[in-house]
Amino acid sequence: MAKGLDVGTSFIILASESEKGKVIYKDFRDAFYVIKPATPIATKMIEKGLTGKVFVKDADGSFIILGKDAIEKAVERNDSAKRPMHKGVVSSKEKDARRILTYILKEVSGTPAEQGEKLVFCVPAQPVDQEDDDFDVGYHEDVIVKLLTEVGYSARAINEAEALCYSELEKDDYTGVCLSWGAGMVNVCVMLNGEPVVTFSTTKSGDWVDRMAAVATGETDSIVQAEKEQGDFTIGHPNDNQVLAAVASYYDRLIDYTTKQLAAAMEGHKSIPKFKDPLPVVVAGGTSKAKGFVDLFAKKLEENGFPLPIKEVRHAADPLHAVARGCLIAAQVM
Amino acid sequence: MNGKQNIGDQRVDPQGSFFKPQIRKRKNVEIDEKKFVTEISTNSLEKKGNDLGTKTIINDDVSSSVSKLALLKKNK
Repeated sequence: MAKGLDVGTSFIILASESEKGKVIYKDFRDAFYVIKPATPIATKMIEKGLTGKVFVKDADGSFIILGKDAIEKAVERNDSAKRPMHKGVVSSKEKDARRILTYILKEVSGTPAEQGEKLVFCVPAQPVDQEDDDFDVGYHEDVIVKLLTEVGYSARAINEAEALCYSELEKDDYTGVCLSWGAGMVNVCVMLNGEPVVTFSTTKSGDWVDRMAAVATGETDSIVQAEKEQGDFTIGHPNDNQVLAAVASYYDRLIDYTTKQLAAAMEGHKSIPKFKDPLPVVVAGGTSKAKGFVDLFAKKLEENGFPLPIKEVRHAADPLHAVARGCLIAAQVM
Repeated sequence: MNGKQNIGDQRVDPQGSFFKPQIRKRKNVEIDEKKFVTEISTNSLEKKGNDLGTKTIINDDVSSSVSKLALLKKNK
């Protein structure tokens, strides 16, 4: 047995196999919201109000609501939920981040089927649009390996977009380009016959869209996120809802920015081989699920001078689970 | 900005001028593999509400991907 774990900025997703060989996913929203009661009566009232929600009680008496319940509670209070991760790694902005992330990961990954069960989890690549000194994945990787080892797994990290290639490029002989559009970053991998030849990331993605739309409309990030995920909008089309109109507008800018970064990063890159055939380009991740995303991305790749020949631009079969699926495949091959 | 600019593989010292940059060659420094992660305890967190995570079983199997990829890796 083996497991795959997508440790994302917005979702933690565990992939495992049933006894009949079917893939099982366990999804959990990577968010928390802290309520600190002021009086013993308030404590009782809050606890009662949290019936049926996912939450823990901390030693100082505060309630930490977890997952999508945290976002709902934050929206109710016209506030924003907190994230234990920021731009693909454990957040340095939140003092509780490591503790909360550790708790969530232990609960979601569960106990191993046997001591030393293989588990592969994903980490982001070094960004091309940020100074090296401002980003490093080493500590994040060590934190996750340590906690998973404590639980009893034999854990190893894989690049997020490499895992996506393993999930999506089987019919292309594991040759092509995959982009994982998460909440915090876009991770990119160019693969040739199962070997990653180039991996990198860019640091603007779905959270950036939320932030910019929140600034433009004066709403909180959590309200924008909730509107974005429940609302009906198409990128590049006008919308009567002010928040969704801003979201659609910033999606357009995000895709333009990312395709320009892709072209700049790949143009003349010494590690990219001369591919004899045009390549499939596969996109996945929650940010890529917006209507009109794939069409606009394909158009912008061409407009902004993507340097490799493209056969097709397609969505992953299951955009939200594809990275976890790739981690599971890697764990079984390992 | 952290006061440094990259030019190719080299770094420009901010004390140099625009027309006469003082370029410092980057040194390749090996960092050892010792890992120090402080103990992160979750003992103070008492589980009160529902279980974490929503489970879904998908009619999908990864065995053909695993076989093909394992073969590719073996032939390298």
